[in-house]
Amino acid sequence: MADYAHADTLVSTDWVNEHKNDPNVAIVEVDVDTEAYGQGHIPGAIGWNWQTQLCDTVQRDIISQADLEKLLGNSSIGNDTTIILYGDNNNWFAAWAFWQLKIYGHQDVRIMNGGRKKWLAENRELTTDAASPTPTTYTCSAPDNTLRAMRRQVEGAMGAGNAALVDVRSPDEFSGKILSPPGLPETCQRGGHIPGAANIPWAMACNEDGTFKPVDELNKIYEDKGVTADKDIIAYCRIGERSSHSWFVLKYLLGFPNVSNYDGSWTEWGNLVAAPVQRGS
Amino acid sequence: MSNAQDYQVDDRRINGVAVKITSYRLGDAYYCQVANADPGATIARADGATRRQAVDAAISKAVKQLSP
Repeated sequence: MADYAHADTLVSTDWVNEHKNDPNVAIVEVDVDTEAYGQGHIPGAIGWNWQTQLCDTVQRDIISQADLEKLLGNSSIGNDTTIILYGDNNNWFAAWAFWQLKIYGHQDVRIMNGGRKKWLAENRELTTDAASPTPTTYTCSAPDNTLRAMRRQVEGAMGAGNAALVDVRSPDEFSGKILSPPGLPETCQRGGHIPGAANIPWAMACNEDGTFKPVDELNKIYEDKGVTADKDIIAYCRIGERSSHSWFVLKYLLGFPNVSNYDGSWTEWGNLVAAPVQRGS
Repeated sequence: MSNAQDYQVDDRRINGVAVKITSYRLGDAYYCQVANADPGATIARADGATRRQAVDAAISKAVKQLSP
């Protein structure tokens, strides 16, 4: 992991096993499948539910500063705590949590390379007992909105020479052949992609065991599609979680300076009236 | 506390959709998750006293979820 631009944001399963009882380390599981935590998790790990705890549950938005402060405080996480995030699906929602924690300025947050899948495959220790953290106080920084792209920024990036839109969905979603992956409910009125976007599916960044590919391979994947460090890069997917995974790769593993995540993603763009849509590959 | 055992991932198609079926044992129970192969999101989940019970129950739920 030493070659990554910010190698300190990634830890191995071995590291977590050795440090899982450290008093200043908080391990947090965030899964796509919100029932997974209850079917075995790393001993001591806290579970966060992305559908109820990492978003505004009234209007569509990321978690508010006040709610994040409450969540972190109730999770026994202080401003100096090292937060280790992991989850299913090669860390989709672990990356989603990482992105929001960085927006609100948490200094030391890291992802467990390989996520839940690797921990299970290595036959490591699990428990079904929920953690019982002691509440503490947490104070967030003002949000860093440079990490987040809103619709108007995406509109401005279309066709701009110094910008790159990265659609990390599957080729069938990108082309418009399907509106959403099989079995998933959130959908849109129109299929296709934002004009000018490059299709680089999120999973291209992962090895079969769920870990991230080496830095030279990652660089080639993006360079081959014209996504380079000198550009203002906006990643998007369907609801913003897969793209937070690619955002993490681009910003923290490759070290590209200007990368944001468009969490409105296709469920916003594909429902807009009169928004330009491109179909096909 | 115990360790995950017998971790296994199998590929299959359900109603024409490629899925991955993950199962493992933890203590006295087997757990099974069915996810679409791409992008890998969970479609169904179940547990049981044996791997067969857990897998069959999860597949049964997935069939309903993926019915046209």
